[in-house]
Amino acid sequence: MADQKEPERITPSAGKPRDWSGALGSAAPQPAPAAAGPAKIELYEKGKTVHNKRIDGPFRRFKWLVMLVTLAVYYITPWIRWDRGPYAPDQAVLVDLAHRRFYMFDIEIWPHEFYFVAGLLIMAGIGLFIVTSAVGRAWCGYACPQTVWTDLFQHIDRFFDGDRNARARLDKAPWTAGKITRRTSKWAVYLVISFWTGGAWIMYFADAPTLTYDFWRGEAATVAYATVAILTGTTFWLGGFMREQVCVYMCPWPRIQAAMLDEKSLIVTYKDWRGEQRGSLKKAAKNPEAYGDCIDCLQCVAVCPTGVDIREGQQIGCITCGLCIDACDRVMKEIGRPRGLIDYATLEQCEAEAAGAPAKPAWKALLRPRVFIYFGVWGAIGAAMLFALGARTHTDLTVSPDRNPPFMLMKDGSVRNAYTLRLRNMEARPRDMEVAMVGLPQGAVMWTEAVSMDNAAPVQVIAVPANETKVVRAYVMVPPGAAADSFSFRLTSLDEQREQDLAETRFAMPGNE
Amino acid sequence: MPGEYGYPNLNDNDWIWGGTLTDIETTLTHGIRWEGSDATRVNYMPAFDGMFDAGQVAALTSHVLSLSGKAKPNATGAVLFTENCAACHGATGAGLPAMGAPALNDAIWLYGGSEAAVRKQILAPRHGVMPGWKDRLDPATIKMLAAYVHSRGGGQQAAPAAEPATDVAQAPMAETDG
Repeated sequence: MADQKEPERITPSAGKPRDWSGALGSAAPQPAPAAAGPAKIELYEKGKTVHNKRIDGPFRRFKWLVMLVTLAVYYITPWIRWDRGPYAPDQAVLVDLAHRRFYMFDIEIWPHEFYFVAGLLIMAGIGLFIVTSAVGRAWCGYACPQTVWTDLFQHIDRFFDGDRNARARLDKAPWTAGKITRRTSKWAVYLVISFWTGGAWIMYFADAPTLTYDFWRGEAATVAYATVAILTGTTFWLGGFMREQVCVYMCPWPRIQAAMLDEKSLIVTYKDWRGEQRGSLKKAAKNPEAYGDCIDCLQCVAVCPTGVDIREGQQIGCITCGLCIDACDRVMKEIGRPRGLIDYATLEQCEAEAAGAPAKPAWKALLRPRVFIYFGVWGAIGAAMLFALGARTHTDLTVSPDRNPPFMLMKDGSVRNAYTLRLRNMEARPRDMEVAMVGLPQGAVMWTEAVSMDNAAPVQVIAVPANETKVVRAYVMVPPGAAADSFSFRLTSLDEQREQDLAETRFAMPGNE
Repeated sequence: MPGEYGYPNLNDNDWIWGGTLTDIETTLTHGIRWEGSDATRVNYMPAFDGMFDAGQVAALTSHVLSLSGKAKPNATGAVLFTENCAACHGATGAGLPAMGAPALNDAIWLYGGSEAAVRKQILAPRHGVMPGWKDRLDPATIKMLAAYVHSRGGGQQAAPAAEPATDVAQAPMAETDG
């Protein structure tokens, strides 16, 4: 966080000196009271429960929308059906670990094509770079599961215990029967949501309706129950209790993003040159020249889901969700000041505005070379993957020759080699495939275990089941006296596609081992 | 299973005692020249040492080699072969699996196909022994073993009245990954 070392960058105008020790989302450590014996050194701040106040505004509504969409995608996706014919599962998104297939709508990924998944992960990584360089920690503020579930659980708090002040009071209140009832019912709802969250996860790995049925009958796999138990536990704990502690202490992403932010990244900023000197309306009325727009109402702190004071500057606890902007804009409206005392802005823009330049719309920050370069790389990988996906054949052949014995002398002096052929049919229907040999002398024949030597012929037709790799042991025999060495098997699908694949191998015989 | 010297190669299509599933199963069950079973496969080729003079031995050896095109045929050898060998090995040297008489007209030689090796076998034949497995393996295991050996590339089809065990050897293999 380079900007921490040069605070003058965003504090060009006079104001009260900023305490940067709070930049990690914590207040300055309290000096331990001088008791008997050496003072106990506290290495970290004790966590405080954040009771964020209800707020409404454009960013809150956007947060609702993202929450609705992400939760809907998560819970509903496994239940979408997708017809792939009788030989493949009809679940739109399915990670079929047992059969080693990954289905995503019309795309089916086989294990040998795992580079597609690697490509998707690389795209996800670069996608986060784009988002970070364009809109800062927008991922943290809106779409991160930790943020979404924390938000959901904070709404449940509000539903059971009331808004900020009521919740703080209840926290301090003694454990009466009423409090116990409220807490147990609230935690029960936590638990139901957590269980539902864990339960939704396993649906991605098996046919959802079947798994649900098996799950409740106690017939699902142990790993399904274990996964649900673990995810129920983590959701309950991380969403219900850890909350912003995860962002501040556990998550690596804020650190990575902190390294990626620069003076041109959008962040949530308190415009201190406009706000300072802060003071109540009464004080300001007495001495308008000395005071700025900030009336020190602390609404920005009250609504913050991670409990930070954005006026201390950019900090790791700030997930840039924009709720403080909603809160401050309301207050500014009430006291008749222009909105945007707290706003999305870049550090560069802040400096310019402090020096008297007019405010620029935030979206202009998106248009800069870094964003375009990331987008170009991201788009190129995506286009390359789409091309590879469209150009891939659904037929594949691999050959492994028997190594021991390398060849076999037959009764009539012919030489026979044995090969293991793997015929891959990636179509969701059974197909006949023709196997031929290219580059062997005249009279070379082949047969398989299924047809026996009596039916040896220059080509064999093999029925390959839908969506499977068929393993065939094939024998190739070269007549006495003929010389052979390198050659290829050629696989041709006997349908309208006539897809082909060549697999090189060699024919071992006396003299060329 | 390429077969050491003196041990038959089970991958090829040459079967001294027959290469159908039942033949292989019988050999596995009862062995060859094995004392442990009354039903063992047994034959003894007589030793011709002392019965022929040096010229006759040379002629017969040459004739045996000619059956697979490795020497020129000769009349003396042909007569000796018909009188002494053809009963078991057949007039053309095609062998007789029912008696365990190896084919002499092919490219496969259990004890070597050179002139010296063939002469040695005429004068002092060796008689390999294989133990039967009926006391050590159960019948189902022996059947599976027979199917496996049969599947190694040289297995022969039985006469039209095929036994059901054929299916075992032809069961298709499939695997689900790439």
